[in-house]
Amino acid sequence: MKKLLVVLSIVIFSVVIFGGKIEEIQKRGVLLIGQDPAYAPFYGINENGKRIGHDIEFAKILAELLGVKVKFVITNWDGIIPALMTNKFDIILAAMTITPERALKVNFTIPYYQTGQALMYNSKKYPDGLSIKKVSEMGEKVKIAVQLGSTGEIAARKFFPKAKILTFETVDAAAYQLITKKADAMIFDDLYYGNLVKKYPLIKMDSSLLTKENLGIAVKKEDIDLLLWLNTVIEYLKTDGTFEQLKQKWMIDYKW
Amino acid sequence: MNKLNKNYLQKFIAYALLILILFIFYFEMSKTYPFNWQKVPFKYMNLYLEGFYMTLKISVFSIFFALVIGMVFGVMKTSKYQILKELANTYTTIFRNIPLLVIILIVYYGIGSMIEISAMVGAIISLSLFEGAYVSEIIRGGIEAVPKGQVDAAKTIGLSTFYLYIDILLPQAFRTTLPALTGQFISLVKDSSLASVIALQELTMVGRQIATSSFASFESYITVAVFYFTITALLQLLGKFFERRFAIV
Repeated sequence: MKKLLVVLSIVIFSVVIFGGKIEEIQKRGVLLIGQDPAYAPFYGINENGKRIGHDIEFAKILAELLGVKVKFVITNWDGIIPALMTNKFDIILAAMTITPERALKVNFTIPYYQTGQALMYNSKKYPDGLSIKKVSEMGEKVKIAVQLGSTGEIAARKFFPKAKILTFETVDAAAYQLITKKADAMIFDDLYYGNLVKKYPLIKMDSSLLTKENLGIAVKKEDIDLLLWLNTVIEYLKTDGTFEQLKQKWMIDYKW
Repeated sequence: MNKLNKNYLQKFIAYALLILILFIFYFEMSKTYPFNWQKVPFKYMNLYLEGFYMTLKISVFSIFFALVIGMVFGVMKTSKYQILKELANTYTTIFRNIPLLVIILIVYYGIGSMIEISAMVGAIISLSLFEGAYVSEIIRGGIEAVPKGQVDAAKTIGLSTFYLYIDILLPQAFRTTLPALTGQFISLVKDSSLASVIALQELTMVGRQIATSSFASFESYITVAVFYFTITALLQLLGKFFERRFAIV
């Protein structure tokens, strides 16, 4: 009880000194969201250039709850945390994996999505299947395709330090390496599998995941009120089934 | 068969051969890669056109400013005043020895942290400064290629330095440097793709964005290539046209 009181008073105290971020957003009338250009199916563009995807719809729900409009501020991925810290936008809602290193610079909400890195392969080249164990045993001989700068690349380097890692700009280009047999395996978010298999029916995915990752919204360190509110909203949307619907709509049904 | 007809025949064979090679490449690739042209680029055509327009806009502005900068510094390099020469040479040395990508980052994030500039303005400033350095070297070469006797003659009849440049040196320099300038401006158009690093919605950026959103990378990259080729091929034709216009036969 005492501990709780201390925590509560710290929270209240910080809200008092730093002022309300929520109030600032509502006065402005716009919720500014930081994203990089595209990371389908979380966020991308449709034929008319309108931003669509799982995180876009989530952002619109947040804005609606705040009673404001939503605006997406586009920066490149490598500069997205500095941009948040210099007030270019209010939050990063961009399928960002929660990591301890990032959490030193920004605060993360509780996870709103859980994804994992999966191993994919060409079922024609490996008719008996390919598993994490088999790939590790292949040692230096194995070539793994990944997307440059993705958590898949990090996982591939960590789990298969001897393997040759081939990096590509898009998931699509990496997957194509499996088809042309230039790569033996590919490490990527498991949720991409549905979209990839539509284009390349030969690709199969191993059912066990290499890693699991939590995605969260990044908030500036001092915006405690916003962080607490976002946590509440995420909890609420998980319980009322909204996230289930979003997942079904954007990760499974939507044809990217 | 006369000579003209023979030339046309050879041209025709060359093009036919090239198209055949491209076709074989495409055919080989489509065995493994499921091309879907209906989706990309046609469904996204408006977006590509917007990107194309942005690339065109930054290219035209940058060509204009690069020409102005290049002319000023090119003239300074041929000046008799050592201080002007030194200033111009230092400028060229700096901007020719830093990669354009780095210049774009420094201009956008460096200057951008002092005064608010848009990504478009940042790209135009960077491209103009970078290409201007090359243009100034080209113009200097053109001015120095004018025979010394003409300068002496102009001085003898009492022409001022201003009119020496306006009436004698620059017109001739432009004519002789036209092919080099055209080449430089074609480079500029292609270099403008680096502006995608500051998330400017130009052709390359749009192409990458659509590639990621649509799961159709190669279709998107090929489309972008065709758009760039259109601009640069037109520039090349324009250069040829002016070369012929200004040629002394």
